[in-house]
Parts: sequence; structure tokens; C-alpha cells
Amino acid sequence: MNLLQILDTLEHDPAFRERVAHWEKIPARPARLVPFPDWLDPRLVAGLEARGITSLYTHQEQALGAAAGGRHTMVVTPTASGKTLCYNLPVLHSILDDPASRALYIFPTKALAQDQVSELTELIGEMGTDIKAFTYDGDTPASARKAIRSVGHIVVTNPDMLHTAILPHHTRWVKLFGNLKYVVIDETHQYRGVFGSHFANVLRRLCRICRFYGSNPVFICCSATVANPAELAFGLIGEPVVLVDDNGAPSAAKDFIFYNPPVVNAELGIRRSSVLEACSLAERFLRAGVQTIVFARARTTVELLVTYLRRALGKDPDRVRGYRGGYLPRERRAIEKGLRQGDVLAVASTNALELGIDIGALDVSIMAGYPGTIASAWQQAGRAGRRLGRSVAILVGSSSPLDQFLMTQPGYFFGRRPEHGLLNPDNLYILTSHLKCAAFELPFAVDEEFGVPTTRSILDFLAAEGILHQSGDRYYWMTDTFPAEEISLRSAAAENFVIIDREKSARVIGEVDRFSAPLLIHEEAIYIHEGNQYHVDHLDYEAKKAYVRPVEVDYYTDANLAVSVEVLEQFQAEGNRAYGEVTVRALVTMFKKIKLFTHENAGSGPVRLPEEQMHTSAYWLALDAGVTAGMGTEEIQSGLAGLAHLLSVVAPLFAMCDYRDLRVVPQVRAPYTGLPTVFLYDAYPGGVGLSERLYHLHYQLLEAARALLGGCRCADGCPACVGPPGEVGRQARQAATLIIDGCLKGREHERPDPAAARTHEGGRCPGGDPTRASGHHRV
Amino acid sequence: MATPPAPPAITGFERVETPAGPAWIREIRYDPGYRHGGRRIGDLGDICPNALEFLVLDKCSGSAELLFLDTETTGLGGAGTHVFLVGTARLVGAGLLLTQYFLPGPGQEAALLYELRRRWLPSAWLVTYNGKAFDWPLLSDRFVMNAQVPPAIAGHLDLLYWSRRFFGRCLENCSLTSLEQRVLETFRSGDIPGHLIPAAYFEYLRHKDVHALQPVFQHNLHDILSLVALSCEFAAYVTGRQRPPFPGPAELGLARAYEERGLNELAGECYRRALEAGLSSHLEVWALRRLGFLEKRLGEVEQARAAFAAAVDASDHDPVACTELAKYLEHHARDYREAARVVLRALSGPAGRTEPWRTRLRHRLARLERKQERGASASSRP
Repeated sequence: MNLLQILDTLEHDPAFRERVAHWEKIPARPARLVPFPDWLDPRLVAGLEARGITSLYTHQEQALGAAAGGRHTMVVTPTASGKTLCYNLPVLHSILDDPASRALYIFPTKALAQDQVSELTELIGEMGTDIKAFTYDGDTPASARKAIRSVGHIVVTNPDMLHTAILPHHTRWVKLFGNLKYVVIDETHQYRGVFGSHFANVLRRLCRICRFYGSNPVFICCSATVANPAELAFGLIGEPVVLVDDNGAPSAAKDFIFYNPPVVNAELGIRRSSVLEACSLAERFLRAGVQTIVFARARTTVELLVTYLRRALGKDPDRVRGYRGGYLPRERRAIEKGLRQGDVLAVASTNALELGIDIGALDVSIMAGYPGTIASAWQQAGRAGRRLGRSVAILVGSSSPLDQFLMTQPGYFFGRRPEHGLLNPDNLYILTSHLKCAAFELPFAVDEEFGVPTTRSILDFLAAEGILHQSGDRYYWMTDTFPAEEISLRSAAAENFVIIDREKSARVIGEVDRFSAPLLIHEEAIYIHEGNQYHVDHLDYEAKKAYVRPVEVDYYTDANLAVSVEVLEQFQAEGNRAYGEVTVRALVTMFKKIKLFTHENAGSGPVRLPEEQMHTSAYWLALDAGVTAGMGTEEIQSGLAGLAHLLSVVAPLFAMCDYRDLRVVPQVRAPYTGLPTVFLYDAYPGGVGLSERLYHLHYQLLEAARALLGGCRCADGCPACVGPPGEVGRQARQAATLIIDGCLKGREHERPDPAAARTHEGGRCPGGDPTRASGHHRV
Repeated sequence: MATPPAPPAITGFERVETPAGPAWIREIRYDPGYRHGGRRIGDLGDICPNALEFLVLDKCSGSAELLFLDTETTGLGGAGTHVFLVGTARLVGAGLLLTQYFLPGPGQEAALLYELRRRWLPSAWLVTYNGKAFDWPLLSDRFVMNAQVPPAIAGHLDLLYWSRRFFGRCLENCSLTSLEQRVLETFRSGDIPGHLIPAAYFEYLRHKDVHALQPVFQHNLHDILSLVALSCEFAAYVTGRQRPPFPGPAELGLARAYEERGLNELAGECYRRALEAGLSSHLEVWALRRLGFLEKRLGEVEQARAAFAAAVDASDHDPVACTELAKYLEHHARDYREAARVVLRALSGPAGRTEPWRTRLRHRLARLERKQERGASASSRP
């Protein structure tokens, strides 16, 4: 059977149809082509023609025109629409025009950078010119670095390398910075939240250094669909951009199916595991030899999928591979190659493969659970089907509330604009860190502004701390440390734990970051890597090493995290809500053993690891006597837990951040308020402004929580709304409803909040497919 | 001396006006008889062009002048590391002129660099200690930061490279201090440790008390004198006027250097001297192997055999020495049985040796066994 026949079978299978919540048929789109502009360098045209490219898509021509005209450009088109030419054309044209010209390409990961250079090298080879493109990252040999710095026309790197290796040593890059014509930022949508806020500051530093050497580069940004591309680009580069979002590339017909697994416990609102369902759906395609990718949200799920799929397919385990962070680069390259060449039939992945890593065209993309954001879901769906033929994307709903929300209201997904990419480059914590790096790179003039008008006072503060030295009208770095090394762009904790297989001559099999370590590699945990189980024998917390040995057991482990919040200072308060600074203490106390396949609890054990602590900002909601009037203690407790659960579902949608950037903790009697309180805090030291935003969105948040509750068809609460009854108590649903209604009453006494009104969403893009162009000409 | 410099004075330093503002300089002269450890400044004149060419592995023109350079900085590199003291020294007549350039505050860097450049030697051969990786690039960065072009150099002799070659196998570390103690036999009293130097400068900037920096000025002075002495020392080793201390390991470094320059006879002498002086067993096998290959290149077949045989004896199963000895036994002595025995000896060595070696040894063994059989059948034929 081929793909079309399988689809036909599925369409006529009543059992399958019954579980389909929505079947969106997205028609094929023809290409819109235009000839090469007549001013484009003939060598470049010849190179493109030699590669079989005889014309441009409309959006490529628009991007080329804008960038070559010296305007910052943001290109927003879906996967496989020929985005790379949007920047390669203006860049190569400028270098052909003036061989002294330089360009800097920034990709979020090393893997993407390496992909990009091989593609560029092929095109340059066809042109028969002497343009040099190099990657410059942690893997670049020291011997090659000097040459790259002076002769590389196009330097391809990542934000971390730019931050720690290139900018602090800008004096070695005089040729690059003195002649920098273009800065290319691909996968721009990746730069949101904490990472984006850091990156915006790295770009501020970059621009400062360019000014020093007398260059003024044009930025070309590319992004998957986000609701606010121009705003995101402005946030990152600090200047307005020309938006190119009218996609001229053809696309194949696609079936996008929302599949809701059958209910196994109606009372508890529990459905069959989305992982198991995704697995059996994948099997249907894999047995027919149709190349399929299955996305899962968690690393451990990826490993479970690999195990299940290998068992299901039997022979030749190498045809099924896992792919996620924590695999070593060499391993990843082999998997990518196997996918391109067809040796690998199935891959289970985290969002690591959502990015533009070249793995060729797959036929089917199955998501085991909603990936968390609309943009992510479209990216993952886009992994199936490139330009021709038909492809299938299936979203398998989990029992989680957000998934069920989407299954019952798919219009929210297909009709709505995707999330906003938000960042807060002026977070004082992040900004100050980068201000230090900037001062290290070049002295600050007293009247110089770095992002914020209060720059001078931060400089004075750093001078008072003895980090800077003011002399004349300048501030100089005057400390014997290297500030960039102390700041990780990706998370609060820079250090990773390595996982060492004791039985294979102490081979390092993977890495996990510091915050995940207590959850994943505590002693007695079962760590799963490439579908193999490893038992953690010993965790050397000081040395950041976990020693494991391969085992074969019928369970996996799941650790419990206990979190407490303490208010340090309240910045703002109104009614029963407030926001301010808090200390969060996180401790993993115990773990559970869970049986494979049946997912039964098969025992537990303690975890003895030190507590992790951080200062961050939080928004909290206290329930005063007016709200809880007439409720019993147990009822309040259940209602509070239910409310916390509801808020944890809807808050990321409203803060428009990754769900991992925000955490929720209920406290039955919070020491600070003396009342039952729900805390929502930024999962990042110093905060990134999420909780402040939530504070202003307070009532919208509560209304969304009530809508979620109202739309749920359970009786007494279920994991799809207030959380599992076993954890939140029996009356959670009713109690949460009472509490929310009580809180919403408070609104009548308050004036409308301008901040809330500003972020209110209008349905500006009805029925549109967000991966397709919005149809507006904005060039 | 003329009238004392106008305030703010920096004790011991003279204010020099430049178009970029005032620079602060002090000059100290050392006559040829001045001793630093076991060396006299006058010995510097003995560094013949040959020795220098040998040390830098490059041609140097007759006008080449040595410029000793050492800097004191506020950190370990990057655009935010300031160079606040530059010390240079050059030969003037038979004596030494040492010049220190001091940065009284970060805003006055342009003047320091201007004056440094103005006094730079036209065809300077830089002599530094770890200056290739540290001092020189850092100083060049400062010129770039001040939109100036760094001065040209004709060449660069980094003595750290030679220290490692000579003493890397016998000293715990090759820091300048440890070489001073073990090789130059000079000792510092009241010296400020290198890692405290940035803090001393920051302290000075806060309180403008230049006395806090006196130990740093002294430290820099001492570093440069040691550079001078060490250059004399190393030049004497390579010209053969003096044998290095720790003869075993140090001679090995010299031997390799001779070999690289095709001076095989000299290299052979060094290997023999090193072996006589005594080496650790690991180094002994290594030296014997090198000597064997050297003799082989010179066509001294028997000498080569003796060296490889000694290496086999010293190591028992060193695959390289065994292979070479087996080659000799097979092709020159035609003693296949003994050759096979040597190969077996190598194969009996600990497992974990890289596979290609084992495979090649097995091939050799198989061939030797065939030859033995053929020899046996030929001799048994009537």
C-alpha cells in the first residue's frame, strides 16, 4: 500500500473516523514565479541555473529587493519555501560586487550552521568564484580559526559562539566587523522568552562593535510563522524591518488530522495514552514502508517510542531511531543522513527536529500530544511533505486539558493566528549581564545608551561595585574576569551533567542540564538513551557525573518535584492580586517506578539531592474571605489546586511563552499573604517579565480558566481541567468554579486595565492557514 | 636630570609629551658586567646570528635587533583586558637599555602606544616568554582598540617553546619562575605573584597610590632580565658552547631540534649523551628508537641494529623497536627464526595496542614462517 491507499483506507474506516476530531484538507498551492532581476550578478544567475533554478518565487524576489536596497528584512514563510535564497542572494551579490564585503550568519544551533555551509558551498562551487564560507563554532579547529577570521567572506556561527568567542575578541575580527554588509538571523522565532531576551542584547553588542569599526550591516531575519513577526524582529534588532510574508512557493496537498484517542475512564476523563496511539498509528504507515516522524514532548517519551516502535517492527532496529538533545553530535549527523538516504524509516524526536535541519522530505508527521504552541505544531506538521505529492500530519490528543481544548475546538488552531514571539531585552538581570560584556568589549561613553535610557545609572552602579572604572568621560572594564563566560544564553545553569556508561569502558553516552538532572538522573533512575535502558548507579553531584549501566527492566521512573515560594518584595498589588520578587526552592524528594505499556505504579523510592534555589519574579493571586466564604477547608484546598492547574494550562497561552518558562505553585496558606494563594513565577533568575504581564492580564486569565472549565464534559473534575482527582481532591471542579466566579466579581470594582486591553487578541486571520502567506502585501 | 615632571607625578617615571597626551616612561641601563643569576648582560653579545637563526628556524637579516618584551595586564585576554605596563629591552653598545611604559589610567592608552611605537626598533626580533599566545596578540589588540596599526616585527622568538623542549620532561612546569630557580639560579625576594597583579593595579586606580605598584614594576623588570639571561643560556646550548643542566631529558630536546634541521651527527651525539646521563625507562626506549632511525638514515646498519636491540631489551615488546630489529634480522642477517622470535615478542605485549600494528606484525610473522619453511625444505633437499 502506498500513502494514498492508506489514507483512503483510514477515511473509510468507521472506527478511525469516530476518533477523528477534525480533518483539515489543505489544498496544493501552485508556485508564483518571477524572473531574476536584471541587476543580479550574472555569475550568481549562472550558478543558480546550473543548480536548476531558473526563476525566483515572488517572496524571494521581494526579500532580495528589500535587502539589496539596504533595508532590514524579515521573511516569514513556511518550511521548504526556499528561505535560504532570500538571504543567500543579496549576500552573494554583495560579495561578487565587492570582494571585501563580509556577512555573518547566525543559526540557533551548530547543526543548522553546518547544514547551511554545505549548501552554500555547493552554490558557490557552481558559480566558479572564490567566495569563502566557513562555520565558526566550538568544533572549529584552532588551526583553522585564524584563517577564517581574516579570509572568510561568510562566517556562519551560533549565538553562544558570537557571545563568548567572537564579540569579546572583536579585535581579531577587524576584517569582518569593518566590512560587515549583512547579518542573517535564521529561525528567528526561536529567539523568544529568555533566549530571545539574551540574544537581543548580544545583537546590541554586535551593533555597537560594528559602529566602532564603521560598518552598519543590514539584518535579514527569517522565521517560521509567528503572529507578530515585525514586532519580534524589531525587539531583536531594535530597528524597523520590511516584512516579506507573501509566500510564492508551491506546496503539496496536506491532510491535517486531529485524532482523539478513545476514552478509557469517562469519570476521570482519561483517554488512551497519546503515546501508545501515536505508536499504533505510526505502525500503519511504517508497515507499508512510508517514512514517518513521530514527535513527542519529553525526552523520555522519545525513548519510549523508540522502544515500542522497534518491538512492533521487529527486524532491523536501526530502521527506527530516536533524536533529541543529549545525543552526541556524531550520532545526530548519522541519523540525519540515514533519514535523507531512506535507511532510517522512522524517527521519534523531540522538538529538536522541528528546526530546519536537513533530513529530506518525510511523508507522515505524527505528534504524540500538542507540542505546546501553534507555531511548533505547524513546524512539526511541516516536516511531512516538502513541495510535491501528498502528505499527512496527525495530531494525537493527550488527556491534557490544552490538548482536549483543541480537540473540541479545532477552529482555535486552524482559525487563529499563532502565538506572539515575546521577549524582554530590558530585563534588568539580562541587560546588566550584557552591559558588562559590552563594557568589556568597548569602553562606554557617559552619554551612551545601551537599550535603555537608564544606562548611565547601571554603569554607575557597576562602577560603585568596582567592576567598571570611570575615567574622564568613559567607563572602562576593570576586573580580571571574562564576563561572557559567566552568562549562558540558554538557561540559568550553564553546566551540564554527563552520563557515563560504566560497562562500556566509561563511555559518555549523553548529557542533561543541571535543572533536569535531579529529575532524570537521580540514583536508581532508569535513564533511557536510544531506546536502551540504563540504571543510574551513582550520581556524583559535585563532579556533575552520573554513572550508569545498561539494564533491561519492565519499568521506567518518574520523579516528583516539590517547590516552595517565598515572597521577598511586593512591587505592585491591586485587589487580591500582586506581583513582586520571590525566592523559589525546588527539591526532588521521591520517584515512582512505572510499568511499561500498562503505566501502572510499581513502587517508589526517595531522592536525596540538594535543593535548587533561585530569585525570580512572580504573580500571585490570594483568595480572601470574600472569595472563599462558605467553603470548607478541604473544599478550598481542592479548589486552589484546581485553579492552579487551570492557570498552568492557560497562562502560557496568554503570556505567549514556552510552557517551561512559567511555573505554577499553590499554597494553602502562604506565609506572605496569610491566605490560600496561587503563585505563577518566571522559571528564570530575575524573571523575564512574564509574571508582570500575567498580573496585568489577570481577568482574561481567569476568564479563560472558566471557559476551559465550562467546556470540559467531566462531572467532578478530570486531568483535562482541574487536574487528576487523586491529586487535587474530589470537589476540585465545583470548588474551582466558585473560586473563579468569586475572583471575577472583584472586577466590577476596578477600572479597565489598559495593559490588558492592548494585548487582547482579535481574530484577524479567520480560517487561514498560518503557514501560508497571509495575503497582505507589505513590502 | 632636568626639572622634575609636572604633577601628577608617577614616582620613578618621566612624563613624555605625545600628540595623544602624556606618556609615562622610565629607562634603566645595565652595563655589560651586570649579573643576573649566572649570566652577565655582556653575554648577550655572544648570541651569534647562527644561534638566533637556529632558535627561530628562520633567516634573519644582519640588521636584526633583539627586542625583549614583557607586559603586565589586567586579565587573561579579550578586548576588556588592559595592558598597563609594557617593559622592553634592547642592546645599546654592549649594555642593555630597559624601558618601562606605564598606563596611569585607561583613558591614556593612546599616548602609551604612541610612544611605544615611536621608540620601536625598525627590524625588531621580539623575544618573549609565551608572547606568541599572550603578550604580543594582546598588545596588538590594544593598538586596534585605539584605531592604530600595531608596529611591525621581523620575527618572534618565544622562549616558552624552547623551555618546553629542553625542560618539559624534567621540570614540574615550565613557568618562567621555575626556570629561574632551576636553570638560571636566580631568586626573587618580595616578588608579587602573577595572579595578584591585576588586583594591585585596580587598587592603584582607586587610590592613586603608585607605591602599591612598586612590586609590579620590579616583577616586570625581573621578568625581562630573565628573558635576556635565558636567551643567552639557550643560545649557548644550541651552539654547543655549554651543555644544558638535567643532561638526560634536556639533551633529548636538543637532539630533536638538530634532527629537524638535518644536523644528524650533532643529534646522534645528543642522543648518546642523554642515554649516558640516564633516562627514565620510557624515555630510554624512545631515545634508543630515535637513535636507531637516525643511524639507519645515515646508513650505519650495525649501529642502528645495536640501538634497536637495546630498545627491545629495555622495553621487552616495544612494537616499533621489535619491527625494526626484525627487519634487520630478516633482510641483513637473514636469520628468520630469530626475526620471528622478535616479532612474537612484540605480539606478546599487552593487549589494547592499536590494531594496525598487530595486523602488520602478524603479516610479518606469517612471511617469516614461510621463509623458514622454504629454507628448511631447501636445506633438506638432497
